[in-house]
Amino acid sequence: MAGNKIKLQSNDGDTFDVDVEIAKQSATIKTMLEDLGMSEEDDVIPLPNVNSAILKKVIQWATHHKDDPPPPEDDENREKNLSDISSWDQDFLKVDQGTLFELILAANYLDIKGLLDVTCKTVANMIKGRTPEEIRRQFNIKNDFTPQEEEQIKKENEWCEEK
Amino acid sequence: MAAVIKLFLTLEPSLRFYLRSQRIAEIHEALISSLIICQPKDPFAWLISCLTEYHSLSSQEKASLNWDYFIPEVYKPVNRPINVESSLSYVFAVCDDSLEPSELQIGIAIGHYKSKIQRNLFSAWLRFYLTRLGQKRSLDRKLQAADEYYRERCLNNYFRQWAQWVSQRLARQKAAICHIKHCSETYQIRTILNEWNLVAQQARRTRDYFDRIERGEDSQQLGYLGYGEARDELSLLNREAAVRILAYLDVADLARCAQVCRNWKMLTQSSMLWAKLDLHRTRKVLNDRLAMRFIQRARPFLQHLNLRQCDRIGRLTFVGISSCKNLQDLNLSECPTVNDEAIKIITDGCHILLYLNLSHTDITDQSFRSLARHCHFLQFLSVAYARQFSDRAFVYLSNGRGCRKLTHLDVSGCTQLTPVGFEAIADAFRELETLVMDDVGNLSDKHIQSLCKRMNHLKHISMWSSTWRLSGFSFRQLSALTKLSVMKFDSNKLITDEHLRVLARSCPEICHLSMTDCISITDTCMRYIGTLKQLRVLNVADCLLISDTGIKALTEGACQARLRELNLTNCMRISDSSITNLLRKCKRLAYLKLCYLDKITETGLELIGQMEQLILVDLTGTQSSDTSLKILGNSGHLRSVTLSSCRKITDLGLTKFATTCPALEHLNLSFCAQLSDNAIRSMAFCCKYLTTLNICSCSLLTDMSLQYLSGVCKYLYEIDISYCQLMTDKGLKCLGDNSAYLKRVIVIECPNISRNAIDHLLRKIPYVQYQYMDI
Repeated sequence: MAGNKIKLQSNDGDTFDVDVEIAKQSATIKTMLEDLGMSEEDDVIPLPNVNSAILKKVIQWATHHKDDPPPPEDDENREKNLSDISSWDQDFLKVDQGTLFELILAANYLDIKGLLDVTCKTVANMIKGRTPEEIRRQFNIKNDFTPQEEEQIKKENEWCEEK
Repeated sequence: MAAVIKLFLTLEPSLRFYLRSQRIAEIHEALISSLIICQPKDPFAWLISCLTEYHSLSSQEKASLNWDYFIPEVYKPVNRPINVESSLSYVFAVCDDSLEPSELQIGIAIGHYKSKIQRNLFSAWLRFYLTRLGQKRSLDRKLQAADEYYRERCLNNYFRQWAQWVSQRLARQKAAICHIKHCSETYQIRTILNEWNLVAQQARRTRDYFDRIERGEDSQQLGYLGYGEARDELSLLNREAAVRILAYLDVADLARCAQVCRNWKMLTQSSMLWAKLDLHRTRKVLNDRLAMRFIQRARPFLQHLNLRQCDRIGRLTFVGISSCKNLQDLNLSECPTVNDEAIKIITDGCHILLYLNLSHTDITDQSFRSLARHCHFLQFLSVAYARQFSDRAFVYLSNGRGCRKLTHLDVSGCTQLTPVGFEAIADAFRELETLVMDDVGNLSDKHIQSLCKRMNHLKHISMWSSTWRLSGFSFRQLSALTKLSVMKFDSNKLITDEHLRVLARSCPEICHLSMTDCISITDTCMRYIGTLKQLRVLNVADCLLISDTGIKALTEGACQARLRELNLTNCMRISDSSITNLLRKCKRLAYLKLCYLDKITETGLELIGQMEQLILVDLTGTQSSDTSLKILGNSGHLRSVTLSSCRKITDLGLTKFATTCPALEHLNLSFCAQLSDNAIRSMAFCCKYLTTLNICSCSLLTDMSLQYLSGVCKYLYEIDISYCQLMTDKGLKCLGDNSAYLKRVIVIECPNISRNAIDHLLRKIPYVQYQYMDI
């Protein structure tokens, strides 16, 4: 199997040659290849929901993570929380918000669990521990509550500020 | 005589028959014979007397009359006086030629005979014909009946099929009608809702507009759009992905998100987010009132609830929990208010609990009664470090009906349990697959014996800090658990190679074996361990007798194909040849710990660089020097490297190493006292993904190092600069200001760092461990 390539086509027409083993990190592509019996040689797999720039990023991510072994079992104090994104991933996801969200959509469509996890965690980290006003600024959101509504909702959630 | 015969011959057959039937000829012969023999004087008187005598005879005697009957005994001759021939001839003359029928008679007879034969033949033929006819007719009838039957059978079948088809069609029609009805209803409702929504929006806008006018704002400036129109990236994502992002946040963050805008508020109300409620992080503010608010809000969806360390909740909360009928997973670990009453209330309501964590609580036997009564589906139960219950608790469970499906049980630290309790465990949970009994200091052979009797399904057994009292008997008992795949224990002096041989043979599924500090095992056992085909993890740290021979046997066994983690810490006898064997045979090795193996020379250490899959290597206290360090990073996959106490390492070696390892994330350089700022500079320059760095006791390092690090290593999460005497407030400030991801800093014994600087750091970084010289 090693060395076999398949062609992936983005929605703007570019094709990318990718190792089968790398492409198979996407459950969607894996299913296409295995269940639908698509031949790996000549067929081009069209990915109508992904554009070239994003597909390139996705392939870059999948290539870097192709040899990842499972985490060590014999390790007691492993933290499982938001900050366990590897620094390579953090660096990789240092992109503008538009790209980040497009990556989430692509990961969701291609069903790449690892990528979906790190991208979602990255966005969650942007929200975590911030005040509503900071979040609005971060995501460029307009406050569309009326003053009365805002007052009420603030009152409802008072508890989270008293620490 | 001849005349008589003649007379006979001429007579009518009927007359002849009469004469013969009256036996006239025989009597005649007898009379004549007696006359001839006796020659009486008065023959007529003689004859009369003879005839009288005859006449008086019975009919039977008459029939048996012989020719010498009338001759007295004394005169009886030997031979017949009359010629026998002639006598016979007249007797048989009846059928002689004298009786020959005439030709006419023969003709009649033949005719008669013929007709009789014809009649016989005819009747026979007729009979035959009639039988044939009858047979044919009955066959015809049978065939007809069979045809009829077949036709009816077919018809019956067709009818049945048709009936089935019709009923199916009817059912489908009905379903379709239902579906259409449902669709139309949904559509109607949706239309109505949409209309209503539109009207509501319009009304809101109008109200806002009026509000603004009343406040005296200019409506033109704000713009009409933007209200209720979510245009941020998160809102534009599909709902599933957006909810997935929010699922990583805790309730406090969700509450803040709800205040951002209308659309976000709607997103935070998604039922998926409320299926899982983690209140651990809000434990400081969580009281009954708040907990009830969350529970009431989440009630219909709530499946997972985590209340770990929430010490302000009470009865009200437990009543609330019991109203969540769909709750499957409940964590009440370290909640001091959890007691028997709480468990009773909760189990009364939540019948489908699968996962229950009651570790570090004050539950007693009574709670187990409640569990046995109500929780029939429980699969996971942790009562670790709950010390108030006794053996009877598990006796209740084994007697009751509940908890039969338990697969995971944690009784760590339950030192109050005796072998009786363990027997009850084995009795109650036949399906148990995982048993954790760490820190059960009084674990004895009797406990293990009670346990191993019935636990056929056990796959995972953990006995950290519990096995120091066990003898070889226990390990022989444990090898009866044939499905075992994970086994962890430590500090046992009595387990020997022989026990491991039995274990390896009877439990071929073992994939994880940790047996640290077992000083009686030798190289021989490694050969047995090597036969385990599934082995992925092997930890034999502090098993001092293991040497190169053992590792050679291990790498030659079937386990070489899968072995991924190997810990050989403190196995002092191991030298270079083991490394060669590991490199050659165990191609999948990814995590390797070789701490304090000072027999391994530079040659051996250089080989480690050739292990292609290696991700983590721990070389604490080895002979690593600059030469071996240069090659260590050759594979390029290393993420975590520990070089603690490798005192030979200098700036040059680290610089070379760093250039080959750009993906390095964790680095421990503690006690490498020769390193200077230059080394840190080159290292920071190459390894920009570094997250954890330990430079404890690198006494040559100054603030410059911290400046390099904070400037380049943007992802630094944890740093340990203890005992670095030259570091000052300036470096620490630099670190705190520039490293956005920094969460943990350890500064012990740094005399030049002031309390102020640490206070300043604490404002930005959640965890700082420090200690002042002057205290």
